[in-house]
Amino acid sequence: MRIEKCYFCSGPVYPGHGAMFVRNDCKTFRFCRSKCVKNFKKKRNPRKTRWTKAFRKASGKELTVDNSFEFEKRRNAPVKYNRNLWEKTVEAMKRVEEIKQKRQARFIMNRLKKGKQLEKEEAITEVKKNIHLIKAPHAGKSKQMEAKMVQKLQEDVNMEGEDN
Amino acid sequence: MQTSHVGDDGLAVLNHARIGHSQTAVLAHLQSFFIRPEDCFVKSTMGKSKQTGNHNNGRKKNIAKTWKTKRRTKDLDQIHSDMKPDIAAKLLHQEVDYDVTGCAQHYCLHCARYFVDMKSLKDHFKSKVHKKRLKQLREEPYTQEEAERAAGMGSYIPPKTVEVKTQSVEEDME
Repeated sequence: MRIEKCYFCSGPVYPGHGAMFVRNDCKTFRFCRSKCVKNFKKKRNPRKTRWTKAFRKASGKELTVDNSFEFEKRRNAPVKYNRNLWEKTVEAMKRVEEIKQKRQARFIMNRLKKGKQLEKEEAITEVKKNIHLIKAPHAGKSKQMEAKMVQKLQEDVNMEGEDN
Repeated sequence: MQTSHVGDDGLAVLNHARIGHSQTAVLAHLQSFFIRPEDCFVKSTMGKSKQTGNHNNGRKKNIAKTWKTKRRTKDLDQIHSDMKPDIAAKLLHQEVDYDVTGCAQHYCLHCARYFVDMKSLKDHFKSKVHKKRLKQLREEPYTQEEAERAAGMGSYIPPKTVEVKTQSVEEDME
């Protein structure tokens, strides 16, 4: 008995669930539910269908390359039962799953950080572009001009004084 | 006095029964001799009958399903395996088959379609459908292994790109 993976969405296919399609060249396709069967019949590409795992991995939405993915494998050689080994394996599975969950969550959080940063940058450029809506371009200019005029007059007076 | 004689039609039997039997016997006779419409298996003679049998008679039951299976078009990974040189050569130089469109002489490898003549095949090469198909074929086909990798059995391996060009037809022009 084996929990297969759905061809379309990569979800688990438990015994007695889903559907299997056998093509006329003997290739078998397993599906977890009728939704996946229907999409397969429409010849949709799982890499391009947004809700599948294949899409999420292909477009960098989820953690793709990691050592925690190397534990779950299709093992075709049966292992002789050993109580000690069995207990250890179950413990290891729990630990691996825990680490995997953490890493995946962290990956997504880091991915979302990038968006926040971009949002901030965009907001700054928008403000810079439309600054005239907040502050009139000539606001406070007259005061500056006045100060400059006073300074110049004073300089002129000084110059005249030196000439005389 | 029960009559074993059966008349040519129901009316004759009725008349016969009225002479020597009670009313209940008449009813029983009617039920056994008349053929009720819901028992009738004979369809009207207009057009071809759709009836494919009532029992396990080995004949095909679901016509729509059989046609659907027969007309199923090739998947992209099948076409990818068709593109291997030896298989491709076989498909492009098929023997004359009168059951297939254009006697199986004008085949588009990438769209898995037969055409009537060289002109329509060439027109097809210029079409949007064909170009779209070429674009789809440029990516390595999706497999169960990829689905399993996406489910967390191994790390993701990006699909390779394959160069796909429209088959050359000049050699057939002689």
